[in-house]
Amino acid sequence: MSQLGFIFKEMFFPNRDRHAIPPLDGAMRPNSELDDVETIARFDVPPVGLTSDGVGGVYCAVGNVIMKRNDAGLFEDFEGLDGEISALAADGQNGLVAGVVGKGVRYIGGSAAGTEWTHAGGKSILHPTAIGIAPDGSIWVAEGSQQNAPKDIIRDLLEHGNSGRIIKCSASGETKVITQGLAYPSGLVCQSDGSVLVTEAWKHRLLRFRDDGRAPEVVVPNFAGYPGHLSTGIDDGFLLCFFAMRTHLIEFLLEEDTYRKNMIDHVPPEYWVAPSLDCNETLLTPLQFGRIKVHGETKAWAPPRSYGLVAHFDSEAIATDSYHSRTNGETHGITSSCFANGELLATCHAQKSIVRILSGQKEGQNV
Amino acid sequence: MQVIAKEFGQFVRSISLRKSMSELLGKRFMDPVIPFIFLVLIIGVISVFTPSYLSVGNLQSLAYQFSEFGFIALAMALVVMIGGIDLSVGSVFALSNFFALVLFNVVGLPVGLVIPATLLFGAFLGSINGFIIGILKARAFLVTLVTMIIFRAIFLLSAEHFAMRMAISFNYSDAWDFIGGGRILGIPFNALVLVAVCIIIWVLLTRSRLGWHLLAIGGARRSARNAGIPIQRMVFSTYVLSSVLCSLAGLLYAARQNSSGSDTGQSFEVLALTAVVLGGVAMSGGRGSVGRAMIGAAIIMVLTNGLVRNGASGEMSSLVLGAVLLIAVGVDVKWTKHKERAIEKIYVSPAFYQLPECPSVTADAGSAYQINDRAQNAEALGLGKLDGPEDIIFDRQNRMYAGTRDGLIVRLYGDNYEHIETFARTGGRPLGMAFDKDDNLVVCVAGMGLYMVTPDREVKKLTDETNRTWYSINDDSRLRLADDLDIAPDGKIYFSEATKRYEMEEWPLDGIECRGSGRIICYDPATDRTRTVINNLIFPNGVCVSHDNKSILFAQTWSCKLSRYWLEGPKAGKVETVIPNLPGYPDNINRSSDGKYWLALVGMRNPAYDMALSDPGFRTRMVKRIPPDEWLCPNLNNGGALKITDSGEVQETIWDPGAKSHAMITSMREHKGYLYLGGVTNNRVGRIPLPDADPNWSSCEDYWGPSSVKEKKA
Repeated sequence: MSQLGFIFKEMFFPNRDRHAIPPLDGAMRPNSELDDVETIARFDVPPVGLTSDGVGGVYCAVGNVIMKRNDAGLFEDFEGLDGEISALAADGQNGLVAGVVGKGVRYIGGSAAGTEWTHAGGKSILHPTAIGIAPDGSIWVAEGSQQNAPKDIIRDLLEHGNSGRIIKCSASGETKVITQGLAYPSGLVCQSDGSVLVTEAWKHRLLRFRDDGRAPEVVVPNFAGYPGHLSTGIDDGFLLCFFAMRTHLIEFLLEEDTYRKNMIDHVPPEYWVAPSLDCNETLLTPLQFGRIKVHGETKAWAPPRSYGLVAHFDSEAIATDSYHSRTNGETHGITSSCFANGELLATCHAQKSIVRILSGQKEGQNV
Repeated sequence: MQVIAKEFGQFVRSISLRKSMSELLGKRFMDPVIPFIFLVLIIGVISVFTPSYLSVGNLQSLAYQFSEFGFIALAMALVVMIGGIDLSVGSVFALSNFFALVLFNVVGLPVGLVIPATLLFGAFLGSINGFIIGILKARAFLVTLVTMIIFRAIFLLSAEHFAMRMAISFNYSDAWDFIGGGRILGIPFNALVLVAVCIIIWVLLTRSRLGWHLLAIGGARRSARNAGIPIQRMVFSTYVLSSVLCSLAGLLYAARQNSSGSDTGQSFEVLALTAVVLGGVAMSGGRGSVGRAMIGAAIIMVLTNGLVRNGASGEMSSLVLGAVLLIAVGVDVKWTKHKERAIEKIYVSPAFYQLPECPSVTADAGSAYQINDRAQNAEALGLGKLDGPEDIIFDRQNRMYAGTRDGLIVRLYGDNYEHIETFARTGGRPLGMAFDKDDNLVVCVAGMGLYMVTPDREVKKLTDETNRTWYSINDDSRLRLADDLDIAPDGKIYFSEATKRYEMEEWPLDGIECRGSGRIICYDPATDRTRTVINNLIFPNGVCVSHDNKSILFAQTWSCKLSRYWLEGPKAGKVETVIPNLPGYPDNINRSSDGKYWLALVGMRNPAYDMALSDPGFRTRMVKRIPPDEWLCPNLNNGGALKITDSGEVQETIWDPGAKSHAMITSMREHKGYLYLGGVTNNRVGRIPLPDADPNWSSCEDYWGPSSVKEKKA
């Protein structure tokens, strides 16, 4: 039936919007900047939620532990929690807001320490993926999916997950569901004008929310990758990490329900035909023809299973800079990034590391 | 009997509707199939509605009418094929008809003179068309439109002039009556003439230079001119021939009716044009045949006759014919334009294939397959100087030979093979290699066939075709992708042809199809005969004669299977499976020094691709919708080499996890205590020391003995 529908559409609506993968051009043109970065920290599990409090403090979460960067530039334990931390935000007054998988969102340190939000709209806040602190002090939380934990993010993609929510939490402990049914909101940043930018990963788009009951505005309708973590950029702009890139094969697979369901049921997740945040290909990893090595080399432009990409967008949501690690690179699966003290830092899932993309001294960068 | 049963079984297994369709549509004889089916349908429908339609009497009367119209359609088809049009066919018919009647009845000429005179008259009328169109290069449409009007005017004027004398004069001749109404074995004479003329013109068109020139001019006039074809003369003669055919029709009509009316041959040009286009003769020229013209003419004949017989008015049948012409022209345009693309769309036809369970290769597998990193430390030889050494081999002087992507066979020599020279140029893609007993290098060249390079570097063709499979739609006798070979002690060369459906650079498509399109072929130098030994194999790749020379081992890449074909003994001629479930895709096989075999794995199976193999619909849509670089494929980045015994027991493995130095291992050759690794996309040959191997063993000596006449001389 779907085949007939496809033929029908091809015949009568050949010029319809196919939501095709846009080319990486302009400021998004691929380079190898992420391959030449300096690794400043390496962990046993992939770090997430890199965040800067704007007054010199840099934090990230590694498993159950929040790490803070010390004066020597090294990350050391800051606070341990009772669950896996999946999102982090700093309020600039020694306070941190952490999202804990399965347990909700809570305040750590600062004046509001101990405040906790565990439910919204009658349901538990299970899988927070991003947290933002608005100028008015309210906390905005993106919950990627009701079903799948952040570590099962790829399963959510293959299951056409659409149970993500945006929740607004007030200092008094109340919660309000701004919207639900999103296809994996994976990044969130509060803008100075009170609006909130949210990335909807499986629809490859960027949305702008305001707490006025209206539908969100679509800021960027179609990215070439799966947009993830958002953080504040330069001149009202924002930094956006793409944790993986879209490929024709995956777009096709998402329409192939029978094969996809069989694969989910019978094949171990690490061997799925799916995007990946890791770049270690084993003997059993599926391959695409373009990725066959020639003369012992993987082609940089081959269809990527994993990819590294951080991009900066200006206040009009137009890309100004991008930092890539292409198919033949290894700095893949960028899960978060932030500007801190003139540096651009990012967490790399594949290398379980934190890398410095720009050091403050680099010329021409007004950070 | 058994052979027949086996052949038939293979035929049944090779059936695929999609594959057959794509191959059939590519055939030229398939072009008129749609009109032919249409004709059969029309006859079926009309014979249901019209009583006694298929009776002998009715068929005979139909045949009389059909014959004359058949000539007109043939005349039209010829000029359309050369890229022109002849609207004057009806007028020439009428004028010739009248001319013949006058000569016979009024002048009283004998039949033996009337016939050549009428045909000459037709040739004269045609030469007017031919001269203006062919020599003066005027537009065929306008010229024949004008001559149509003029010829008809002359016909009407002279009919008026001779009306009186026609009415009173009467001539009688048995021959004339026989031409008009005679039958041989119940078949009307004029129908027999049509058949004869059709055969002559068919031979002319398909088997003679004249016919090829005609179609070439219609297909591409400028190219034909550049090729030196005399266009003016050809066009002139075609129009003459066209009019001669019309006058022949007129003559037969004259003999049959013995009268002429003002509407004789009226609107024949439109009917004939409809007929040829319906039959599948392209209006743009260059494409058509006698058969198509006849099918088209038959459709028109049956349709008009059927309509009249069922009481439709003349206007009504004109309307129907017009509509049919309109549809036929539309379909003709679209089909010509999209045919190739349509075939391309359905050519790749993936088959269902269920691989057996995959043995584990992980580090804790506990079997011989257990992964190690022995290939990772392989020494790289010829690094950067080699482009895709698919196979490697050593001669008696320890020199190494490798085929490369640019069609060369290179020779590496020196203590560490640091020197490289071109040994021979093949012109294709050299793949598997073997030395024969006279130190000739026999090599499978993809795209060309089986070749031999003598020690003096002379390249000789051994064979490039085998016997055709009787049930194949496309001629599969030509070798497309000869892959690997080995030579039996009696000199017979057994080699594999990986696939007969795709070229070397399209091999991924065969993997996606996973259909048995390959074969094992035997070439016997003694008789210079090539015969297919085993057909319908799934990408047969490595071939190796066993140590006891009683069988050959061969690998089938996409089905992950190693098999044996018995050359002698009680199971001679039988195929048996040696290893049914390899963990990867097997490639070349070669002997090892300890009486065992090395088997290369070009890539590893992975669960996601295995699952896709049992879902042909998924693969079909994938191939159609996404670009080739994006297709899912077996993991061809991780290969390895296995050592196996005669019974298929895996004893030793060599892996390169992560494909750090040898991404794709397509072959390996043991030589004097080392194992050398080749890869079809690699830029190096790997060398691994084999501490337990015989340090003096080489494959040349193992196959052909230590002594060599030439070496002694040297």
